[in-house]
Amino acid sequence: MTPLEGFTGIVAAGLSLMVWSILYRPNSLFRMCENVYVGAATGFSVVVGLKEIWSRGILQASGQNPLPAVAVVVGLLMYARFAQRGWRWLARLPLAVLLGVGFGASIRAVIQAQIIEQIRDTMRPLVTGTALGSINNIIIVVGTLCTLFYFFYSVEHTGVFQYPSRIGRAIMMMAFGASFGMIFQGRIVTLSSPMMAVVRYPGSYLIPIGLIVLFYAIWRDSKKACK
Amino acid sequence: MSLVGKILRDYRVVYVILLVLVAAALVTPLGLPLLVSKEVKTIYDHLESIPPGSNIGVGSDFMFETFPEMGDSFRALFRYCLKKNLNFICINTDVKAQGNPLVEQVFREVSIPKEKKYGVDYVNLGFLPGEEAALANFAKDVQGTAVRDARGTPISELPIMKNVKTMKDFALWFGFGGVTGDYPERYLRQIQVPYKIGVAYACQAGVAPTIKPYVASGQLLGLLSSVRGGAEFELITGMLGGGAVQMDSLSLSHMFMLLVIIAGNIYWFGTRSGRENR
Repeated sequence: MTPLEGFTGIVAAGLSLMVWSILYRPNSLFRMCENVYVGAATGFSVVVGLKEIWSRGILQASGQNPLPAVAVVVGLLMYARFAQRGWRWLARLPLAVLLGVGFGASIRAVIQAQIIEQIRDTMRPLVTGTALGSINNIIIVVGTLCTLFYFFYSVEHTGVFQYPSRIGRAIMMMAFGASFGMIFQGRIVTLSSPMMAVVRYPGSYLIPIGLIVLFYAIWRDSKKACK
Repeated sequence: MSLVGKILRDYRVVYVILLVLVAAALVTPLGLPLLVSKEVKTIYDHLESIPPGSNIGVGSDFMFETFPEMGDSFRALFRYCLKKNLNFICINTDVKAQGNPLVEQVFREVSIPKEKKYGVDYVNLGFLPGEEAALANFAKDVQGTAVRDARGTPISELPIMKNVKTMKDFALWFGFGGVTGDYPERYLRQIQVPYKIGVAYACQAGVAPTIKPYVASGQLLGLLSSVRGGAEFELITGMLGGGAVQMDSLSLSHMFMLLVIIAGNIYWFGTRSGRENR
């Protein structure tokens, strides 16, 4: 391990411990890490943005192709919102271009990719060769129809109509439960991944220091509570 | 209330136990069984059917905070492509992403065989501004859209890019959805539908249930969901890495949370009659 790798390992473990200190209570170490992260991410985005404007806009425009200069000028109009009231409408132009290009690029295949293919996949035979296949298809077809019915407000969901509505609600609750379980998995990963830096050399040397700081904070808080 | 009762009612006890469990499983792996799901196997089968020398496009739109979830899948795919002589071509088009430094970090971390060279076997084309419009342009005209790679080398000087003109020159597109709220629809709209290229996707765990309908309909070849997807891919390719290491801690923490939920419900139902009497 090179000295630089050792140093970055210590920094990663130290920052992880400082972030986890929020689990005890809000404190200045956590706020410092929070600010470091926000600053680093914002700084990175600004540098990438400026680099792209320079290399793809200004440098290319100064060469043979003047078209990127148009994009730079239109982009600069975004700052017109800070100008005097009479000029602020100019800021709408780059927004209109952005929205137009975004919609134009995405609309061409949106119906095929997100509507037709998905509807086609719900049109399944209810009886297949295998029992499990049939059950699976019935759940998909009935679940889709009942969930759609839950959002059909032209009929009061009473009498016969209450049943598909309730099934739709149950299906949605299962989907939300699955999402919650998966989100929990994601949160544990954000714990276990930096934990690898903490439990391994050289980050593991910071564990006793972290524990001393934690016990000191607990002792100080309990003393304050006694007073 | 007794001291023990006070401690048990403090939610921070759950945090401490979780921290200890996760750390213990990382230090002493238990080797809990891990099964490869169908969604991962279809990706692997498709990759195995691709002839050596083919191009694999990778949408590397990671963010710093989501990279722990996506990193193992990305590393596993990169190592697999090197092993199978598949050209690994990365781009990122999302303005919110920090894909460039993270891809370069993986290129530094992974032990790359000496015969594999940057620009010949793998490349990072960097950030292409314009989000979906940039992806559409890249698919239509690779050489005209990605003029230089992330290190500033003109792509005309990169041997790996010599025969890559449009999206049709790719054998597979592998999207990584590391940006909050990012979904695979743009890859379906710009790559799968117009060019009929197979698209696989790797995502954060939280969004996986909303993406699975695309796998069920066959629009996506398969899905690597968070670290678990990465671990399964490592397992099926026989190249174990960080994903497999973390699986024990994931399994243990899930078991613990199940116990906490069951215990909480038992406690709630057990004390309900007492509360109602009061």
